[in-house]
Formats: sequence, structure tokens, C-alpha cells
Amino acid sequence: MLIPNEISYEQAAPIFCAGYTVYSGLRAANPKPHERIAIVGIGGLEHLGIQYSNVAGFNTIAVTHSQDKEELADQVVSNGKDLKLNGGADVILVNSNSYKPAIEAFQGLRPEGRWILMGMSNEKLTIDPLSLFLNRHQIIGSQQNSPEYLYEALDFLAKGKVKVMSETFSLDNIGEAYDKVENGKVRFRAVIRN
Amino acid sequence: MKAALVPSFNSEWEIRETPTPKPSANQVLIKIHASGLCYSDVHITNGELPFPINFPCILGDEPVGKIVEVGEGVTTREKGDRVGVPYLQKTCGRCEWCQRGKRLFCEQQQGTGVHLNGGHAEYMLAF
Repeated sequence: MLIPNEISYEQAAPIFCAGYTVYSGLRAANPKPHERIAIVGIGGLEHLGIQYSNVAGFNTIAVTHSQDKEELADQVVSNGKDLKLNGGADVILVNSNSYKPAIEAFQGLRPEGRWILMGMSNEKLTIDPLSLFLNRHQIIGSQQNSPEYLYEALDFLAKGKVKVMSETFSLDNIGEAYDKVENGKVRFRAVIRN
Repeated sequence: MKAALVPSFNSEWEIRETPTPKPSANQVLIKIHASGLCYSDVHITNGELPFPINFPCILGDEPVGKIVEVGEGVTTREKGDRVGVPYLQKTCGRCEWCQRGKRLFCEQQQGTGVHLNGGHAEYMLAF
């Protein structure tokens, strides 16, 4: 894919996996005007997901214990129960490789809500079937889906509406970047700059 | 070129000199300017995902840079283009899903950093 001239290499790189994936997930949820989008956790995909959801005009809620995301989201809640108490969400975007907080977040999924899974893990998913049935919830698996979404994800950056927040490392120091990513210490994406 | 090589599962990445690859038909050679490090790189290194990895390999599925050489048959990209490469690079073009325009479901797919070397290096090939 060609990179629009307005975007630096450092800004463009994380869109080719993180941005592409989370934007495709938002599109797979097929959100309607007036719907509320919740994003669970904090990291490379989530900080972009919040911005894409915001710029598309949706009320956007971060589900996290971290205060880091306050500047990006319209609303921050700490868990699924808190999400329910604060209006719930019609879409929950799950990017994490640890599913516990995302399964808890089901409590805050409004009737006919969609729970979109993008995070890869070898954990098993266990959910409450009765709640799924009564609320007509949908669980949707999503990956990058189609190149049109990569084009759109890049275009939001070219228009200055979405920005990647990253830390840069040299190729020689890639080991340091790896350790920070593995320990969840990077804010919010590690980019190797050549 | 310099590259971050992954020797095997559960091993530390090593910065090593390795031959700069030459583009074959329908491939381009990209001088990498930035390469995002994704948690999937960690998953793959730790052997936590069922991907068929041929070690030693170069990971990195968020590579961007400038095209410095084009292989035979490349018509829509040229030297000097600023490009990025997503995960899905090559599919069979013949199965049901390729014919229906849903290449992501092709069982013969070749992905960046899994079947094909990724962006944690000075140069990278891409289809």
C-alpha cells in the first residue's frame, strides 16, 4: 500500500497492523449513529481504536484502570460493572491477549450489542450463555478483513485526525523494545527506526 | 544488511549481518525506515501461536519504507515509492475465497513475519 505523503514513516508503521486491525474491527461491528463504543484495555491497538471511534463521531468509552487514556476517550470506566452503571456500550472492542477484563465487560454490553474479538491468545473464552441469549448479543471475530480499511485507516492520519503515540528505538536496541512490549511498558507502540 | 534474527522459539533476538535479498518476479525490495514491534512478535517468539515458522527468521508485521528495487513483472510500483506492507502479501488466486475477493481466507496465504521475512531489518522483500 502506498503511504500518503502527509504521513511520516514513524506514524505510518503502526497503522499496517495495529491501526488496520482495530479500524477493521470497528467497521465489522457496523456501528450506527448514536451508538456507544467501549474499548477494553490500553495499548497500541486500543489508543488508535479510541481515536478512530471518536473521529467517526461515536461516544467512546475506555474500560481501564489506567488514567492514561482520559485525554483520548469521552469517558473512562474501570470495569464491566462500572460500564453498565455508566450507560453501557453497544460495541465492545477487544484487542487484549488476556480475555478476563473483556469477558467482565460483557456485563456492560447493551441489548443487541456486538463484542468484537481481535486479540490473539491461547486462552479459552468462557461466557454466560443465558445473557448472550436474552440480550441477543453477537460475538464477532475480526482480523484485518480487507485493504479498503487499511486505506481508510491511513487516510485518517493523512487528514491529521488520528495520531500514533509511540516510542522509537534503533535496530541495535530492538531487545530493549522487545522487553518493554513483552512487559506491557510501552506507551503505546514500539517503533524501530532505521 | 543488518537484521534482528530470531534463532528459534524461546530465544533472544540477535542483531546480525545477513545477505541483502534480491527481488524475484513480482517482488520489490524495500529500504525499511520504520518497523512497528507488535505483541504478536512476542507470541511467535514464545511459541504461543500455531504458525509454521521457519527459523532463523526476521519478524515484524508493520514495515514501512522506500522501494529501492523492483523485480520483473512489477507494474504498479516503482523505485522511490513510499510504501508499507500489511500481514497478507500473497495468496493462491485460485481457491474459492480468492475468486470471491476474500483473500484473507485463502489457505495458501503468505504473511509478513510468518511465512515471509518481516520488517525488523534494513531491507525487506515484499510481493
